[in-house]
Amino acid sequence: MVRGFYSAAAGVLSQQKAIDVISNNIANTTTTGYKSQSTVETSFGEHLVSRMSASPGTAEKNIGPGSFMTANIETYTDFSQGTLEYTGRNVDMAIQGEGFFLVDSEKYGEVLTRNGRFELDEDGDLVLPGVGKVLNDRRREINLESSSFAVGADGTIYEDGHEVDTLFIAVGEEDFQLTNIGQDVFIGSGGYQRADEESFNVIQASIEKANVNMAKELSRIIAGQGHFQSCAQILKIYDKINELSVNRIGNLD
Amino acid sequence: MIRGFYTAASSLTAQQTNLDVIANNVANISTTGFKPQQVGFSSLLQENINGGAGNTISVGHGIKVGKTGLNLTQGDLKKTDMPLDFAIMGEGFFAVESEESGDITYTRDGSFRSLIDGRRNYLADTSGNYVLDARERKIELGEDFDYRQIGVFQFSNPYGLELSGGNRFSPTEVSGDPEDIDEPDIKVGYLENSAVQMAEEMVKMIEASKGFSFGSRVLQAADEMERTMNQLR
Repeated sequence: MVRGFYSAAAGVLSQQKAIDVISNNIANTTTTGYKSQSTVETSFGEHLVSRMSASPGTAEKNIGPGSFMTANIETYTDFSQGTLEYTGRNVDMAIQGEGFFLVDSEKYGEVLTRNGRFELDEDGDLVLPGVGKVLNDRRREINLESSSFAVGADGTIYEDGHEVDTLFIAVGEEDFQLTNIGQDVFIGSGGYQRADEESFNVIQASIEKANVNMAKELSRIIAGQGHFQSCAQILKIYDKINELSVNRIGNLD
Repeated sequence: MIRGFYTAASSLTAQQTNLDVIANNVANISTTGFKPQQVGFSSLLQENINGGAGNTISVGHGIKVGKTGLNLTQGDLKKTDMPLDFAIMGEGFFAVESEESGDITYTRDGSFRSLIDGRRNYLADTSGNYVLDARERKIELGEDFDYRQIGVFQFSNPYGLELSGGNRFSPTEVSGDPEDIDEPDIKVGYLENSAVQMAEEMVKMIEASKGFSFGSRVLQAADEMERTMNQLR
């Protein structure tokens, strides 16, 4: 088959995957602590293209490098700060600045999140609903008497004016990689430690909104869709060429 | 089908629920003692898919409604000068007992009236449930009636209360058991206004409706891409 046929098909596939990721961003514009993602598309496998010819004198043999495919190599997550929204609920928290809340998930072990829509469970432990218990500076659950507690900017929790616990605000060490596993939580590979108190503020009764930029996402959708359609059009043209070469060239009439 | 199609569909359903909750808050803008609700969202699971050429990329599957939470902020007090109107300043709930089932539920709505039961005259709420004192007994409206008799109860975690309709809450395992408050701050001749902030709800409504239309725009784009594929031959 003509080489361009496969290149166009790869273009269609990679745009389809890019749209999947953009669509997820747009769906999560109201998700607490959501961090927007984008795919990185790249050319794949540079090849030295050369012309096959029986008589080398007629044309230059080497045409130069070319790439036949485009592929999505990775999903990139944008960890920039989302805007804060006041909710008036004492159990909600947001981090301004660096760091993540540390949550003990039954399924994944210790996970990191920027989603501070917490609740108290029946034992009085601070939990992230659907994920697990929020951990303190000693990596234990945080047990509270009642929901009328106060949180200081450094993550210290006060009950009736007495210090009772401190939130673990985690930052990664060098070579730290975060993998998004959904439900607004990340698994960190490589170690993490407590963040420097100066580098963040914990804000009570507020949540961090998603950092999705709608204008950017929608223009990407439009561009992606256009790209997708162009690739599909090229596919059609190649199809036509193949059709012509099969039906016309061999015809001796 | 393109995954984005279903992702966009999940955002439409989630924003619809969001709008339902906002509509309920707005509808209760003048309900005495009403506490607004907020929808908490959570993203769906991420999946690793083949990005082409041996690379894997991570793709999410959209959004779901996690939990609706209560906002228990104090509402403003409104002076009515009616002798059987009460408002709680600060934490706590009035306890009311249903006449039929005997279930005790809790409310911030203090617009009470007298209910004549045989020869006795009891304090009751507007739905005909008896108002209870600190020891969960009915309160008789006699000459020696004193507003201090009315019981006010608090919960260790009021965010865990369950809405049981009619502006009343039921305790759950999460909320803890009701405990009566010593010397609660009850204002006679006042009612607590709904704690709904109109401007806040309007902003949320715009957010939800824009989220919905963006979602439908993506749905449309995915649909058009499907059509392009279908027209290849």
